[in-house]
Amino acid sequence: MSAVLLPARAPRRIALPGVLRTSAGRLLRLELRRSPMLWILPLAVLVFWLDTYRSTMVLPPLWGSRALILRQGSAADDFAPFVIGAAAWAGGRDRRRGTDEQVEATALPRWAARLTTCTAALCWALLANLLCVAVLYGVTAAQGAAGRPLWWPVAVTEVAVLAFGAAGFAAGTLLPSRFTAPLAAIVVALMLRQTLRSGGTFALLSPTVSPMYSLEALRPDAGVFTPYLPDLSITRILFMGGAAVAALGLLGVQRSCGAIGLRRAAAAVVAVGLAASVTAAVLVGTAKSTATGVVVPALHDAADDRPIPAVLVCSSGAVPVCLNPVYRRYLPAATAALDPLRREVAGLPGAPVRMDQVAAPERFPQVAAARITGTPPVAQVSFDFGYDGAVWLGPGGQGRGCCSAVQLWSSAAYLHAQVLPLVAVPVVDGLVGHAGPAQQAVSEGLLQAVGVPSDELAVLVAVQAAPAGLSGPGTPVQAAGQRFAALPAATRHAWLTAHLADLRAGRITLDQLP
Amino acid sequence: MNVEINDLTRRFGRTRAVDGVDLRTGPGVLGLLGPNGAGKTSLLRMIATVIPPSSGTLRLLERDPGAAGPRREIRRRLGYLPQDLGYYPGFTVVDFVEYFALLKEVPPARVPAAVAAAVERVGLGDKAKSKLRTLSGGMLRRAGIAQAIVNDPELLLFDEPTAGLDPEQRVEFRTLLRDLGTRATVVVSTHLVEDVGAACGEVVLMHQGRIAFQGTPEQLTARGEGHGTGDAPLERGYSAVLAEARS
Repeated sequence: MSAVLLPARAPRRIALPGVLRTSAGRLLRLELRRSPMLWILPLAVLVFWLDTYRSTMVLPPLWGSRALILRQGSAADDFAPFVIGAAAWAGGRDRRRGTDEQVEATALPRWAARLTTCTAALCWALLANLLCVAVLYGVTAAQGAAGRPLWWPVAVTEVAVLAFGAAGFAAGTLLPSRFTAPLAAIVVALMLRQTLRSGGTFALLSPTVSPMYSLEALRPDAGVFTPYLPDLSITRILFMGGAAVAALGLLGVQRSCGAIGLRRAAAAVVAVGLAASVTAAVLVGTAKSTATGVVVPALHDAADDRPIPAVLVCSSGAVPVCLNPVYRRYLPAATAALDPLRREVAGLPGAPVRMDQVAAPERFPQVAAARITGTPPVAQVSFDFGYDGAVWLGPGGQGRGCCSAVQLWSSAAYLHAQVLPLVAVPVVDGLVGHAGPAQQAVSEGLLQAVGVPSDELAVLVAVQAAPAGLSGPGTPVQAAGQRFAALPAATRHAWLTAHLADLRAGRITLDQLP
Repeated sequence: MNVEINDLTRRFGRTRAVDGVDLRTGPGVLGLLGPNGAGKTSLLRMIATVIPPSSGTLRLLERDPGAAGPRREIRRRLGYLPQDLGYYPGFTVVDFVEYFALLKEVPPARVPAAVAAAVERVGLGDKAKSKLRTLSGGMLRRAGIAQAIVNDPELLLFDEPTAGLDPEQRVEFRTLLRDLGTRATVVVSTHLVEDVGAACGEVVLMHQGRIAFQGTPEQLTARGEGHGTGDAPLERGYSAVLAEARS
């Protein structure tokens, strides 16, 4: 055997980009390599995966739904304690390590040196958070999510991470102690928990939002029917960005930070940051909660109130179900859910000729709702395809919690139990009315024939989602209704075709019902 | 004159750590001797522009450190090793020295060569990539010296630089001091009179914030002949001057 000796190769030198060859670039590169943020971020990423990522991925692959957890500030919340703690640790480095005097005896103004250390820490935090969000959005996109990605919640999250990092660094610098970092992390975590439980106007400034308490409507159809309202996002960015700027300015106001001119500049930066935050607080004080989001009058663009034009996609049949193209994939499920109703009412005088999807007018939309309007009559139906027991509040503030959105919209049984009644009741009520006993009996009979379980109807009446009352057990109205429901479909349809106008006009009595 | 001090005083509360000191020195190595609490470190910190004087005038490298612009210029040309060396355990030797080179505004193109030269000069070339947390006390001291000399300073201030160094390293350090003193003004505060005898061309002995003696090591030795206590001639001079100052 013979060995072939190769000449030793000189290690290849990687040419640094121009900016990294400057003093500031070299200093930043050094700080980036040695930033304590690098050590703590894997934990933040793990928490993000356990919390934000997993909570998001159980939601339907719709951009509006997948941004819901992000809109609750979950990604910022997951990162906040780690970022603020590591930043505070980095900020207190010189005092903790006893390099204060050595650093102070150098030419570079202390503010610049601190800003470099802080920038390195913030860069890592921002990069890690952005990567997490990018993975979340990337997977969502790969799943063929319908709609458009929402970027404002991402911007708010990133500015929140920056603000937490800057505040933590300032705390670590100005109150250097080994306890500052853990204390800052604990205090911020508790503060965020507290704002989650607060429903006040000023709590809107917090990046964390609770769908239970917040004045902000966290609707999964945000950005589908009308543009996503950026008013609150802009206010939050102004508030947190201002806080971040003020914190960075605070790093330069101490006597040891440099010449008086520099310290005055730092004080001016603090003032600008505080002014931005105060402005945001004033703006949020004027905020109004609407069904489509929070409106801040000074920032509101009227164009955001205009509906987004869309050509609905429709199913075939006598009474087509038409959905916004974003929800195209739900068309078969929605059609199947409403099929019994469509069969019953098709061709009846005054019956809807179409079922068009519209945005729900409520802040907390139900799984489905409907009303008949126009000539020829059209049923305007709203569906909450992003519904999920974890985030959705049903009528009266109660979560239904039967199932997840994915389970609901893929199961015929769930659809007939949860969706059909919410559409059938108002449609039948709009068609027949409920003023007299005959109308009430026919409505109940028709709903029974459609397949609305009487216990479900009782629930709807209890929560006032059904406009009609419910007849008591053993009453003549209930008996007539059951008799009407028991008729063959063709007989029932023929009778209604012939007598619906008289029934609506109150000219038919209970005894005249078949 | 690189250091010009007139009637310099520094108070900490009611204590006068430095009390009316006058001193002028140019290139060469100046040894600052004195017992604990004599005011050596306070004087050195004022010369390092870390603390301002309470009264008196101080000119360094022919500039007034009281004004921001000149102070920044002085700091570019200054090297300082404090008594309690601080360091970042996660940094390598090269990182640490490069960090201070950048803080001292060494032109970026010169930084790699300056760092390499400083690290080699203190004999840490083979530990250049080692994390500071893995180094012994003596090696850390040498890393501290490297950061102080990385900008090729015109004014170098060492506070107890040989603390923690073994005898061989101390001998090497004295050689380095003599070499540095050929181009720059080096002020070394120390307890160890043998360091002064071996490396310094001039000695200042401080007592209770004042200068009790200023001269060459030979002159200090001469003051001790037949008077002082100690094993070495310089130690006898030291103790004789102190005894005189106390009386």
